[in-house]
Amino acid sequence: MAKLNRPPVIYSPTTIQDLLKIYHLNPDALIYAGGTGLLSGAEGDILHIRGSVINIAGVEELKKINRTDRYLELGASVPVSKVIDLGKSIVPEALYIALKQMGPPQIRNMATIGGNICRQANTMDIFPILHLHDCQVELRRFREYRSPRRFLKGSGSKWIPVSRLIDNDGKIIMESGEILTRIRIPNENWTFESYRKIDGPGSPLIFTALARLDKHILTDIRLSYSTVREKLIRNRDLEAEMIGRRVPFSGRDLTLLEGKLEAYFKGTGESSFTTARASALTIQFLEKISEPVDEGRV
Amino acid sequence: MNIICNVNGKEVAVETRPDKKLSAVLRDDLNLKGIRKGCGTGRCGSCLILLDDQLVASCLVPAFAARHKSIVTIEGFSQTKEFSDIVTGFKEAGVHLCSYCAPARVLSTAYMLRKHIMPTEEQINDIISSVQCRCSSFSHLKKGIIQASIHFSRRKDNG
Ligand SMILES: Cc1cc2nc3c(=O)[nH]c(=O)nc-3n(C[C@H](O)[C@H](O)[C@H](O)COP(=O)(O)OP(=O)(O)OC[C@H]3O[C@@H](n4cnc5c(N)ncnc54)[C@H](O)[C@@H]3O)c2cc1C
Repeated sequence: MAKLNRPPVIYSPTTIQDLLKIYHLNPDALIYAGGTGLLSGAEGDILHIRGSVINIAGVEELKKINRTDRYLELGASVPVSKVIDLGKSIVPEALYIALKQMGPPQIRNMATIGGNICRQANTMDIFPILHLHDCQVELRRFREYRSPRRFLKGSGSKWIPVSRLIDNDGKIIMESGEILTRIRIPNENWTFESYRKIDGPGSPLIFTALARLDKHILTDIRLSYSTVREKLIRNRDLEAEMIGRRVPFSGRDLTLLEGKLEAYFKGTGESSFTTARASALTIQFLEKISEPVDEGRV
Repeated sequence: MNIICNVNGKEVAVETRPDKKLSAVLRDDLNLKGIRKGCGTGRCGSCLILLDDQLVASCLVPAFAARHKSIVTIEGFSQTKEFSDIVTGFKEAGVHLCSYCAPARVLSTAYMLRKHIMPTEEQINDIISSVQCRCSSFSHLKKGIIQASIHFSRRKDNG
């Protein structure tokens, strides 16, 4: 029989202050949100978690959803299913589609938004959408301020663009003791949003796209490709080239764009298969935005 | 660690390792054999339970995460009128479930019908995906869930 290691020490804070303090004192502790990214696949009846665990599920503040005219704000521990329940009219379409595809219902009930962002995964499901939507995330850590008069304790909070959460190698950049607490998604009206996930051994690809049209003029377009190799590919030059153009794109324009995209992809070292897939998805999206629309989002 | 929770309506205290899978605690320590051993990755659905009314895969829940929560397994759910609605609906549609997946299939259907008493086709397809066993055909299951929803809503209407 396999030897059992010592059971982990479990901390179950109920407030953010307590959570930050406990994490500050135990920077090596494992943060447990929904557990679906941490514990899946463990063999046997024991999960063999070592050291200490901070279960953040009891921190109510992290489960709050807040809506203003300017943004939708999600606490990091909001389960994926709760975001889906908000509905298509509130959640950006691409995010809504991505969340609905995330595993079976039991996983969406357990998995949290923050857990998905903080999970070190090959291809990130939610991240590219948050990135294209220019979302901000709040990071908090315990901080002690020494003032001449009194000794203040509090939590250091900072808001950063989600793009700054991940380095060039696709690794999460968080300081020791830091927790992701909130995600802010701006309320912006995009005429078209698309999210396509092509799963496959060795070559998964996530294509995310946003486009805004005004009287048949493309006023903004953002395209991203997540692959195992390059993590997230975004060619802002190509996007800039398309902005200001009239849709529908002509067949010649589409062929030109396809060629540029393929050349760009080749430069990233992606396989010819991924390159062909990425350019096919892009062309499909550009054709879709060229179809006549009456009004609003499609 | 002493885990106190409510299992099928009763307060229960179990002395266990905090990192023991809840599926194992329920099955082995509390003798609730309706929890089946499955893939251990949360995908197959054999170990589904309702945890604070949410459908979850108990193989992915460590015991510590069940503290002070309410747990419903098929053993508890089978005492409810909703259970009869679902079983009747399944029978009427000719759904014959194997003993391995039946508990999870019934619980997942109940979870969805509590959320959407008259589910859409998309919602039905989605909940069918929570259990991977294919002992019953997709079309039979769909019909069974629709029949169950009729019984569910009829009983709700009659108070
Ligand atoms: C069957 C199955 C199917 C799945 N399908 C998909 C899928 O289609 N797409 C997909 O993207 N993922 C999928 N996943 C992976 C996983 O469910 C998601 O990534 C999920 O969102 C992780 O969230 P969680 O709350 O369970 O995180 P956890 O597992 O609790 O944590 C994940 C990581 O994030 C850290 N963390 C969590 N919250 C915070 C926080 N607030 N601050 C700092 N660090 C934090 C944890 O320490 C850990 O390192 C699947 C998993 C399973 C088991």
